[in-house]
Amino acid sequence: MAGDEECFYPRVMPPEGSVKRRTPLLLAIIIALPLLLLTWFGVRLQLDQQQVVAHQLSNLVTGRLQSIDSQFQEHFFMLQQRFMREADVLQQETAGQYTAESVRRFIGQSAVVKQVFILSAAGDRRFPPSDQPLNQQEQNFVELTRNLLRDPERFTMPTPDPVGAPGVVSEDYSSVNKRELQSARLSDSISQKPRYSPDISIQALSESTDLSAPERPHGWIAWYAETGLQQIFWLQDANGNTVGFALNSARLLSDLINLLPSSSGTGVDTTVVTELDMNSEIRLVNDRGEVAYSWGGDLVTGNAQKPLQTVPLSHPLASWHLAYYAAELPVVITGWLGLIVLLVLLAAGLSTLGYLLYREHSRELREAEQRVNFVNQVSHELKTPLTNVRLYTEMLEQELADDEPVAQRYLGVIGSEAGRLSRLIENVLSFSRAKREGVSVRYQQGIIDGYISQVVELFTPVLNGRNLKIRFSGNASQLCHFDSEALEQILNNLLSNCEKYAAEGEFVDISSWQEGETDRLCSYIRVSDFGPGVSAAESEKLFEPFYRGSDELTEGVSGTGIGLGLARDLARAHQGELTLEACPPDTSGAHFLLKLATPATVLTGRPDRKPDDETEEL
Amino acid sequence: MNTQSDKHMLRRTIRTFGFVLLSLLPVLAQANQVNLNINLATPVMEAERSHRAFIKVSLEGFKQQDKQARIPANVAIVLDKSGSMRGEKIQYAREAAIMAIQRLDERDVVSVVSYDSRVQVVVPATQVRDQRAIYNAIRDVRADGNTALFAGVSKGANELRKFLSRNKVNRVILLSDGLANVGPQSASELGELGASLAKEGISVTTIGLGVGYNEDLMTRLAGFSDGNHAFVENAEDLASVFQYEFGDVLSVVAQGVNIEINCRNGVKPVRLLGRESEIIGNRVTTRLNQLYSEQEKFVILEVEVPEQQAEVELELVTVNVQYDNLFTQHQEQLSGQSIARFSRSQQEVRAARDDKALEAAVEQVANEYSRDAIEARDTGDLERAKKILQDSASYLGSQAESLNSPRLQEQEAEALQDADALESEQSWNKQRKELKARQYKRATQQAY
Repeated sequence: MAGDEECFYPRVMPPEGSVKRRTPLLLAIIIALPLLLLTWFGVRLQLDQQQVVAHQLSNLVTGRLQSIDSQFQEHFFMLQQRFMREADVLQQETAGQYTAESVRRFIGQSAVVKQVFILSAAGDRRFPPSDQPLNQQEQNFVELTRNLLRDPERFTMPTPDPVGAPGVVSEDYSSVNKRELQSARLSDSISQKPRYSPDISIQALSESTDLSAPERPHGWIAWYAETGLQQIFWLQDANGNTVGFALNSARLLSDLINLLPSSSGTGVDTTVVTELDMNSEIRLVNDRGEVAYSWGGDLVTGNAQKPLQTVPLSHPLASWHLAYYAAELPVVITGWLGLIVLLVLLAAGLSTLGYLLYREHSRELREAEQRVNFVNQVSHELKTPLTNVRLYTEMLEQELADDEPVAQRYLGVIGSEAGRLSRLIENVLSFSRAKREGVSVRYQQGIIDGYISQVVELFTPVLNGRNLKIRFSGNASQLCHFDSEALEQILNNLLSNCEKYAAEGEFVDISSWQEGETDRLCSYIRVSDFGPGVSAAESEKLFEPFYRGSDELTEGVSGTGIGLGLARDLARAHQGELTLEACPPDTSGAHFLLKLATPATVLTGRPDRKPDDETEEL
Repeated sequence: MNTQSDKHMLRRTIRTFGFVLLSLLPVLAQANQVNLNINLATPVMEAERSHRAFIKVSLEGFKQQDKQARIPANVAIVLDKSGSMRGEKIQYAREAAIMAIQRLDERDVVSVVSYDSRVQVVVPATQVRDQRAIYNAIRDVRADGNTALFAGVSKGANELRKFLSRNKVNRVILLSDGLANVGPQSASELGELGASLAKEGISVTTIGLGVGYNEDLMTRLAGFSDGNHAFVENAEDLASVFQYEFGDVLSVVAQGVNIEINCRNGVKPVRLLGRESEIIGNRVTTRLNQLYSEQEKFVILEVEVPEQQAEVELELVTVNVQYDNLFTQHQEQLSGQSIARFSRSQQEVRAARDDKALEAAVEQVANEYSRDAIEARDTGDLERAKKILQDSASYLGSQAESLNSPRLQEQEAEALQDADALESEQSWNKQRKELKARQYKRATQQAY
């Protein structure tokens, strides 16, 4: 085309690119959505389960700690039994007098007792004796217990026997306990070996009194001495005397520690150390808040950590407590691990599936592209010979004398069919070009009506062949800028449609007009036929590529289904619109209205573009 | 004829043998008995004035007849494996324990307990048959963590209780190089535990390693249960200390020794030097957990004697001793008394003086001074502490001169050295441990 023409090329980008980007996005969503859902559910489930496990664990831990407590209670009960026996022996041995000498001998032999006191029924202190010199220990004891012994009423209110709930004692601990009991009995029996024991009668006595001992008031008292909690067991003997045994608190702790398992380390005590112990630590904390003993696994180190569970111990160890520390919950870890593995597997599966789908999809896209390219190339290959055919037909028409009507007619048919074919090819090429690089428009100066007349002239013979008459009323005679090729192509398509589908309509009306100012001049062209028309439902689909109206309409009619779509794309590229107008009620036919922006003057300074040469482009 | 004279000869020989055997009998019997000696340092006292007198009550374990016939031991070795033991200390401790156990055989029961913040029973109480397994278990002990000393001793004692018997030497051997920081940690609490264990016939020997341990706690624990105590500065010396200790353990001949001293005729007990004792009125009682073969253990009783006329003989105290003889497996009793004579003659008084007993008494008194000095130093009263030791030195010096005793002279020098050492701030920690250990050894006549 001419170089002095001012041109610009608005482009409508083809939708293909966005489709290409949309597909992976869609696939990603397909993968991500179930994953997210599953993650959410999984995490919720896991958290719930964690709570349940934590609850169960805390129950378990509480049970365990309570079983330890009841073990301690059992220890106190054993001590109680022993003290009751020993008190009986003391009483019988001294005929109720509790001579200082025999009480001292008893203290000297009993490893668990630190000191003994005896109050008479009237509340007077009988031991440590108030009328005899005392040894240092007794003096200290009297000093310490002055307040305690001042009100003997304390020793009239029995406290319930310390007995742990037997059901709570776990098997592990009870087995340990049994061993401890045995060893305790062993040491008992050793200390009472007849050879060394000054009182051979103790055993015999204890056995006999065990059965017949009437239930006398007795109880445990815990009181704060200077060094900490002190435990005292008291009971009233048959004469109303109160006999009190103050425990050696260091020895008591030592015994309690021996009731508790030692830590693993060498794996010797594997029966005692269960799996739960491996990951946790239990601490025995005394009334001053100090750790008296701890056992368990090695995982816990920090002191700042909060205990998972604490259980206060029962009387007479009140204000002591057991604290359970755990590093973390092993069960839950495996749960999370399972969830993560599941999610990873699912993600991998879905990704693979998505990738396969994507590959399949892009292969199809490629194949479709190849097919389009093929059609494109074929069309291109057809174009050149067809141009020649048309050229030579025209040349022959001019050369041929007028008196050969048959030949003239035949040539006319050849010419019009070749024209139709070339329009078809033009459509295909334009379509594929539009898909590839968008629609471009080249503005040229001209008169709209002139171009319409050309097209009408070109179509007249064709339409006449179908018994259609074109009625053209042109009112767009202003000089303006527009793309004549685009206009021609749009009109070609519209008129081809009339030829194909509206043959019984007799007329095809074309009217044109222009509106607006010089730089915003718009040209309108209306093409109306009187054929069967288009239903409202179809009116939008009509412009979609490859859509061809209803079956009865298209039956026996050839067509590619790209014409109207292309026409609309061209109109839009031309800053215009192609619409199907609703037809008036009692008429039939399709009314297409084409609107084009056809400015009378055009902005200059646009870079000149080399005229579009399709052969080069392809 | 011949046959008759032969018969005569035979009879005579048999009779001679019989006599010999008969005369040996009391000796043999004697050989298996503990020797009780009561020595009054001043058997003759000046008349017409009151006196402070020292009475030495000593017991000597009889000789073990036969090395093979020793008393079976029931030993729990309690090893500190806290973080501070890391490195060669724990290595030496392990080897020392293993070497010591090598002296035991299948009559004996051994257990090994280790403790850091927790307690592990490394070897539960077991008869020493498969020594290799025991050694391997000991070699697995690695140092780490804190010091749960109380629990360690408790578990050690508990292992002993599985085979506890009065016919065995029941002993916990505790090795520690640090302060107890898990569980009870005061000297008094550990002392209480020791006293309780002693009532069961268990004694605790404490070995302090390095300069980081609490010597008060360790000596109290040992003192209340009548075990030994040693201060080992270098871990290399652990092996020899363990050897000594096991030597002691394997030479025990008597256990559960109760000494009861009753003062008569207006004599008042003042104090019993060296050991924990109970004084009620005129009655003084103390207790030794065991007597070792051929080792003399003694206590010094200081009494106040009222003034007497000249030429009066006065019974000051009567002594009763009860003990379990591990060989005869019987409880045996010994008794004796101490009688003083009063005279106006200074010469007589001096001539009768029992130098040995007095020397022992002076030693114990000086030992008490030394204890007081530590106490004073602990309260920060450096001057007083120093003065006490100087007093002690001059006391030792004057006594050494009058008794002509090189031993006391040595101790005088020692006391002066100690007085100097008090001032040094940086070496006091070590000095204190040495002093404590020395005092303990003197007071209990520990063999090593």
